[in-house]
Amino acid sequence: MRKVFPVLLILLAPVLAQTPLEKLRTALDRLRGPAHQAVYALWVERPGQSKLYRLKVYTDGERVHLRVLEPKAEAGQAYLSLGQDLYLYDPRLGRTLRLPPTGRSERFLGSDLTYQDLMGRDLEELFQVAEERGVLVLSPKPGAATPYGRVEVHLKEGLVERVLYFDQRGQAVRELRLGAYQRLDGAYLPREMELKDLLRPGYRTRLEVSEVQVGGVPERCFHPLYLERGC
Amino acid sequence: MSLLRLAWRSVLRQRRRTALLSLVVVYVTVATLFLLGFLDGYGESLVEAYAEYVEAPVAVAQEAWWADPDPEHGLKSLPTLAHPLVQAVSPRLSVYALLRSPYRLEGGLVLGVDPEGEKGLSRVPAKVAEGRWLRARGEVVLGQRLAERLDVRVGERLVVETGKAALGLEVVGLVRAGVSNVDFFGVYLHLEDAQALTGALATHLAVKVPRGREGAVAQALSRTLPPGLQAKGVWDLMGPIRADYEGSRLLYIPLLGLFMLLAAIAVVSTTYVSVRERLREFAVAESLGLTPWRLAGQVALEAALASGVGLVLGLLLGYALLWYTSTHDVFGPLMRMSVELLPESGLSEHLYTALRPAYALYAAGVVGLSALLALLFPGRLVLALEVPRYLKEG
Amino acid sequence: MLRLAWRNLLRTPGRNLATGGVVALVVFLSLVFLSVYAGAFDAFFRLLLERTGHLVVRVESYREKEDLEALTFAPPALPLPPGTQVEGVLEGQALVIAGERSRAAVLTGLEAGGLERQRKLLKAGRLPQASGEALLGEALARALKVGLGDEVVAYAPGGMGLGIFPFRVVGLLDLPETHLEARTLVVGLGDAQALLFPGRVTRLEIRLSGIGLYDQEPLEALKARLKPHLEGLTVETWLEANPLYAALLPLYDTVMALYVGIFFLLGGLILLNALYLSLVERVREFGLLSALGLTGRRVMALVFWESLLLVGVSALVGAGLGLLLHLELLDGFRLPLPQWILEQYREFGLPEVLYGRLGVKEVLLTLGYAVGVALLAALWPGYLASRLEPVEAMRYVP
Repeated sequence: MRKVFPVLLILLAPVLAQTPLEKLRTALDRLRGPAHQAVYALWVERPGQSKLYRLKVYTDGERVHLRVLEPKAEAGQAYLSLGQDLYLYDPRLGRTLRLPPTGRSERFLGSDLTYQDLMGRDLEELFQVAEERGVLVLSPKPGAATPYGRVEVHLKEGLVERVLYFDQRGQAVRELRLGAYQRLDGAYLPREMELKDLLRPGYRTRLEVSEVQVGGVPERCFHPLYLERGC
Repeated sequence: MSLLRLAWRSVLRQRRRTALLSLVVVYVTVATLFLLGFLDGYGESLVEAYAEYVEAPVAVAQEAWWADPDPEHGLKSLPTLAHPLVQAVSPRLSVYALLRSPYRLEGGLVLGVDPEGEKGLSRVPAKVAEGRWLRARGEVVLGQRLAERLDVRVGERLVVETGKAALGLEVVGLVRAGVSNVDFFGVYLHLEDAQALTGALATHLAVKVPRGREGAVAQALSRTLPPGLQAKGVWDLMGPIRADYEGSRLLYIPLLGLFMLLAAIAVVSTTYVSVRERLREFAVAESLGLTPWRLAGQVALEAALASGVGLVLGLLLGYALLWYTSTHDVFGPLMRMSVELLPESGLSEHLYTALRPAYALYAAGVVGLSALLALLFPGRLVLALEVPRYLKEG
Repeated sequence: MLRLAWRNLLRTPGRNLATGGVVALVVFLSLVFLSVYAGAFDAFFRLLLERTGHLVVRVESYREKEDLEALTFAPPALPLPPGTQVEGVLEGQALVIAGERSRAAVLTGLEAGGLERQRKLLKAGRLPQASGEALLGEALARALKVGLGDEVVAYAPGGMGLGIFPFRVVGLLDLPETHLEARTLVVGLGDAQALLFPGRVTRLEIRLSGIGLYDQEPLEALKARLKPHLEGLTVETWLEANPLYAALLPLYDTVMALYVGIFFLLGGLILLNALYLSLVERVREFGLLSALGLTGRRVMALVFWESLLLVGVSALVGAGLGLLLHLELLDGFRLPLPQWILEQYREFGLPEVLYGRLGVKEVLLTLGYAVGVALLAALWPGYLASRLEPVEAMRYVP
């Protein structure tokens, strides 16, 4: 036992030595998965009704190109997230728009997810990270453009399992749960996401990832021009 | 002097008549004083609201900005203002932004200010009802009613977004100014934060000048400013509410004139009766060598004295009323209702009447008018007097 | 007695003409003022009614709700009397983007009838005729630097609709209130629903025909009939839907009585003065009448008759002239103020052209004031005349 202990310590050292910020970074890297393309099914549930979207997603882990496949009325809409910039293409508009920064915190396709939940890395950019009893506790950096007062990121084996958003009065307002992580090409991808609006019962959004193809996504997919043409 | 004493005696001889007459003049005098005090008080409350809270006594900006108030037409550099009446200058940056609290979103104008410079210019910093005024970057002060609408409290963060950038600012104070625009829509942040949100230096300069000199200083500044810049005085910075003030003056002042004329007619009626009763007296006086014009003058003097008694009483009563309404918030409930109905108007929740010595002069118009009419009507009786006929009758 | 009073009035035509003139002027001014005041009041409330509809159906507790999803509903079928118009309106917040500029605006989706009502506000261009066309408040167009034929994009994510919709500006609206104009985007209901929430509306506006402006009874009756058909919804009359403005309504009578009272107080004081003068001129005559056996009460009645006759005739003349001018005002008038002031008054809900209104209430109020003033003003001179001692009075020297 005495011999085993130092070996364990050496093996665990990189994990134990990670700062909370590094832990968050690693977890977020895993959240977005490797470079891949996939089909996302998005159920927007409201009391008494539900709506299903099917989206084709292309991502290199940092940048995301997202195209609406269904419902038909909205098919052809496409979104591109490049860091702080968010672009939108709408077939009726016939051109691509760069959305004002306000767009990033808007809800996506009428769901409870924001563009940020799907594509952004705001948790890392806008918050400072601490760790309390195994939970990453995020508080906004000075001047950060977020309305939240605190975010808790619950990790399980280094993967984000649950994100709890609190308003500035200490009340939990939304909860994001992630699960069914799949190890792909050395990285991880959550295949199921569920977001609940904690202030409004019956408001829920579910997301399921399927038809995952791991591998390099053509660079053109991350150019606003290709929102219209498709990538 | 003897003429005056004679006229005075005639007025006092008919005390009841004079008292009745005075009632009319008192009423008109009080009405005149009150209306003038109210209108001036209304004007002053608007000037105070716009000069000290909503805008500034004078503002200097690019001509293009006055036409299209967007930061793209902001000042490229801060001009120096050389005018002896300029007491303080502070740059401001006004920009349209979205305000996002955790619960609500609203669009509106936000004002980037220099926290210290603003203290010398505006009374908003002194009207922080909860928390404190701005000190540093990263802070925002909100009108109390706006904060209620957005559901944010002191210590919480508000996200301010323009088309170019977004900032999370801590609400450090809530303003309760009692001026509708400030309480309902006021958003004040550090000038440097506004610069970060827009990329502009400043949209205009707020300039403090003595009350009453705003228009003149603005004109003088406009002449000396570099080309493309224009200064505007507080009356030109006012919103549509100015029209209500101007319209009220245009409607009520002629009405006051009519009131005075009617009062003068009442005075002259009395004088007419009094002259007819004393035609023999006048005939004797004329036969003793007083000229008809001098007698007619006495009639006018009598009318002036009779109305003068009412005027003095009216002035006492009127000024007492004005003193009360200029020190007590009598119109508060009315103004608060107007503020709720017209939050964009820049109306103040309080309105105190003005109290100026000059009102006495305007109210004295009734005396002059009475004398003039007395000269025209009962005076004519005296001028057309057939002295022998009245002496013979005696 | 009446004939005597009449003869007495005619004996001093100059003064009585002047006093009568004052009374007539006061009555005239009161009627004109009331006609203008009621006209302005009506115009203010008519604008409100036009914007709201007689009855409005919304979701229950809509004032406490913020979210578009909670505020919208699928319009139910309603049992409405024939001739009643129902229009669905969908209203929501949207960010209107034009190039580098963007503004938060209220996007209002209207049915054909609602769009047609915008015609009189149209400053330039035309009404939307097809999908993808929009009306923009002039001030909003200025802020966004767009004009007719330009494109704006309405961005309103978060609803169950498309979240984004391009519109071509086909018309510019000149709304009375600039602050509303600066956040007004009006489109067809179909487009608004596609953008914000398919199949839903935020309110139903119900318009009835042949109902007086302030007539609330038929509205209450219809409201009661509709209630059982509105599950989760609430129906309000236009005044209930605008409580702040409704609070002004009870003030109307007070302000009206106060203003007219100010005129009449002056008229009354002048009348009192004239009656007293008339008394002092005829002290000897009153003494003679008393000596001939006329009782104090009859003398007093004589003064009252004189006052009533003087006021009555003058009030009739004043009322006649006032009504004549009112007939003119009935066809529409502008306040005698400079144009720039009239334009600015629109900001407060007062149109440039007003239409006079005189109800029975207003005419009765004025005549009531006149009679009241006639009686009150005669009280003291009448009392004095009735107390005159015949011998002393006949010896009276002024």
